[in-house]
Amino acid sequence: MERKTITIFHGPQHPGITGNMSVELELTGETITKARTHVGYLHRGFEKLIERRTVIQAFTIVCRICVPEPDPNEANFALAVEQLAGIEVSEKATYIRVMVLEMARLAAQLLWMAGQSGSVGLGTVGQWSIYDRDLILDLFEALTGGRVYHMYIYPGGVRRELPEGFLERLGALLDYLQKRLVEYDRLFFDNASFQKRAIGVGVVKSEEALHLGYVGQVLRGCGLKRDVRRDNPYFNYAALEFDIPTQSGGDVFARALVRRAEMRESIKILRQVIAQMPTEGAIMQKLPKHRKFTLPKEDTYVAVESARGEFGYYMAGDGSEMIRRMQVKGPSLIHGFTLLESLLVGEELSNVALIMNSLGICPPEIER
Amino acid sequence: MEEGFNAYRQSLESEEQSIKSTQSVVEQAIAWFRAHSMFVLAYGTGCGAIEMPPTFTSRYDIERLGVVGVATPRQADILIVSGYCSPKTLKRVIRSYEQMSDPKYIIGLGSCTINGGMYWDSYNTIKKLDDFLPVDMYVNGCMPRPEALIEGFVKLQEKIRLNSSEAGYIKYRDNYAHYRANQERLFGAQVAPSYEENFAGMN
Amino acid sequence: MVLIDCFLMLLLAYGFGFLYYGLYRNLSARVHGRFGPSLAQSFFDSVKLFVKEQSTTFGWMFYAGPIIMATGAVLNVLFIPFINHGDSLQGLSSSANLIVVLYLMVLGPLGNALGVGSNGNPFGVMGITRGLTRLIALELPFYLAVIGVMIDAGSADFSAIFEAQSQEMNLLKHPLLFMAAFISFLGFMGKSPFDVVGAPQEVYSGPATEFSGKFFALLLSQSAMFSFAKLLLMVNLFLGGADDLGDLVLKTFVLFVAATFIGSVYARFSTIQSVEFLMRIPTLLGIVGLALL
Repeated sequence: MERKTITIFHGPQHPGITGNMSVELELTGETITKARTHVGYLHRGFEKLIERRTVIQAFTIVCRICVPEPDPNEANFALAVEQLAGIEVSEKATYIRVMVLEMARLAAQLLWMAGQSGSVGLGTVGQWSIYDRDLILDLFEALTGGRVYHMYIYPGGVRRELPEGFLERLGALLDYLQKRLVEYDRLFFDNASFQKRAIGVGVVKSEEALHLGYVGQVLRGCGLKRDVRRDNPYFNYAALEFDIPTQSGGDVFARALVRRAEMRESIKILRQVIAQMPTEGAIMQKLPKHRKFTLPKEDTYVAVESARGEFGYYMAGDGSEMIRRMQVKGPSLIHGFTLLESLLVGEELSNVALIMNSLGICPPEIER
Repeated sequence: MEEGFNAYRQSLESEEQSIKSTQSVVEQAIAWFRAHSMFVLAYGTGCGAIEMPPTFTSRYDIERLGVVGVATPRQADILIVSGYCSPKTLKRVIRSYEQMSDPKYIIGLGSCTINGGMYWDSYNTIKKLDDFLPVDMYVNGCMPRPEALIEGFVKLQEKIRLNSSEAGYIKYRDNYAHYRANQERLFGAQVAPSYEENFAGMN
Repeated sequence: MVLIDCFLMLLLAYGFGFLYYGLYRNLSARVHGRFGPSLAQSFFDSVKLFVKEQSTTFGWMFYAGPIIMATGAVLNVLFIPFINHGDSLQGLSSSANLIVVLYLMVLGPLGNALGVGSNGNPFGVMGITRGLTRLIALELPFYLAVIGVMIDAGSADFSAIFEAQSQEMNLLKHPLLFMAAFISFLGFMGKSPFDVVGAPQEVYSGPATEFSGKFFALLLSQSAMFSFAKLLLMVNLFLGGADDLGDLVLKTFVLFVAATFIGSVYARFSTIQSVEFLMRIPTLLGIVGLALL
């Protein structure tokens, strides 16, 4: 017997969608038989805009490519420009960069926790974790002057010296967060009702995960130990000690557990950074004058590990002061299309928000 | 006559008094209730949506002012257009706005809604939201801080309490031809069906 | 006399309903670590919605839905006695019994289904389907518990039930029955983990998706009154009813706070999971409780 299907748009105006995108779902009852991702709501044409900008002009807009965690964009941009222009960065600036990136990772994981818990109606976790994220944003504000967009990691170093007593404040915040993480475990990760919802939902098979180019927690959630910080170290991650947590389940809960362990690893890295931070040294290299800052006719690909997986930039110069081409490869593109569309088939409607949040899909980065 | 900020404030207050004196007690009471219960449509149109969770959760707790999020446009009073709008988003924003029932207000969050902001030379964003929809309150900045958004809400509350005819939904009704022409110019053949027949039967 | 009594009961239910709804928002705000809105916020909301303009029409059937729901809520309030003795605040309870009340409790969701079905919004239809599916699962343990209470009292009349609890309340006499009823009471109140009907991340506002203005205000008011009626029913069935108005406030408040706190620390089950859960644990508790009678 043929069953009647209805087509609905899950988004863009929907509380259960991760940002401004939509998924077109074909439903039989509440079971999804077909899913299609629609994007284009956020296209601003970054890659084209950057072609018409000098390095310093382009620097101001790259952080806006991904809103929940802008810092990997800045790091990528700085790395690419430094590789092309042959700029060496001082040790102190490198440490500060690692610190900023790890703080951003913590903030992004806390934001993810709010989304993930909200998707199963556990609003309390979101209220708490957004508060704790705000404490990190306060530190960002002291350091960079901005809460969300920092524009701090600049080619050649970082833009400002550490404020007085910043590392002590960071240390105190880490102590606080370490205590809070135990409470999050009790309320969220060890909560039987969340486990009941998350276990066995959205299972990614490990054999197809590498083959189709999935990154981040999706890979680590199905047992593959991949992390750009370890595989292809940048800044001074090679000198820092940290683990790469993995889980074998491949489902939403496995990815949640990977993130839970990653928050603790970030705290570990930050503590090492605080202990090893050089007191002396320049934070900024001398750069050519703005109009004379030319990039040679070469290209490069750089990648950093964002809170959701490998975040890569391809950049090419053509000998002029403009950037000839810059391509962004974020984790959301592959997760939001190939993975999401196949994972949703056969799932219940109630699991759409759950799966989308656990894949860490961020639409502004899909369409740039 | 005083000068400076206080004088400006006093002139605003006297204006408020003169408007209020023309209204009955019932009208004023209704306006008070409207100002103290604002339902915000949950639609994060752009990057400004990242500062909405802090505003709505425990750090800044805008629910103190009676502001809560609702899921569907039918029940919403306030639409926050949080940042830049591509034409594709704008089409959805317009449809969401037209589904909301009167009285309804728009807050333009971020510099992008005022003049394009960071994306002033982008080929795929609109530069001035007010050309297409009537904006009641702008909150500038990129990102506007949660405090700025709360300030915007407080100012909007004052505006609602004045019950003035300057409200966006009245402007939209009165100048629909203007807004519609702009929308048609932007969307061409793909423009949404006209909203005009919904005005029939209203004052 | 009866008329004044009924009017007073409705007024009390309306007031307490909104007060408890405001308290719910305040208490869950405290759990979240914030201050929350003023206690009267839900009342402000409903007044504002009453004066909002209505812009959508889907025919008269659409409007009949909230009205049927409100009728169910009002009748429920009138048929459940507020106080366990005397003549005041009894309403029409002497001419009805528990079975009528249980029957009326289903009237609301059915009326809602009628209204929502006529607007054609897929999310509304999904919400109402979820609601009715859950209702079946909710009723099983609740009815088991109620049957236990009725067997214990030997009657379905409220006065007999109060009489049977005069020495020891049913909560202490039959804790298993109370637990079975309490779990499904959480579901009736729309608390996590059984809040599948209006789950915003899944089906917008569920059945209320297309309602705006006055009819949404009516929905809010009736749900506030209906929640109070459910609290009353639980108090009457298991906590021995209220001796006076102060006792009534105390007992309903304790139940209400328990439901609120439980609701704010659990994630939402999916529809099938909540049906499975309700069919297993509370039903089992109810059957064991019945066997122990």
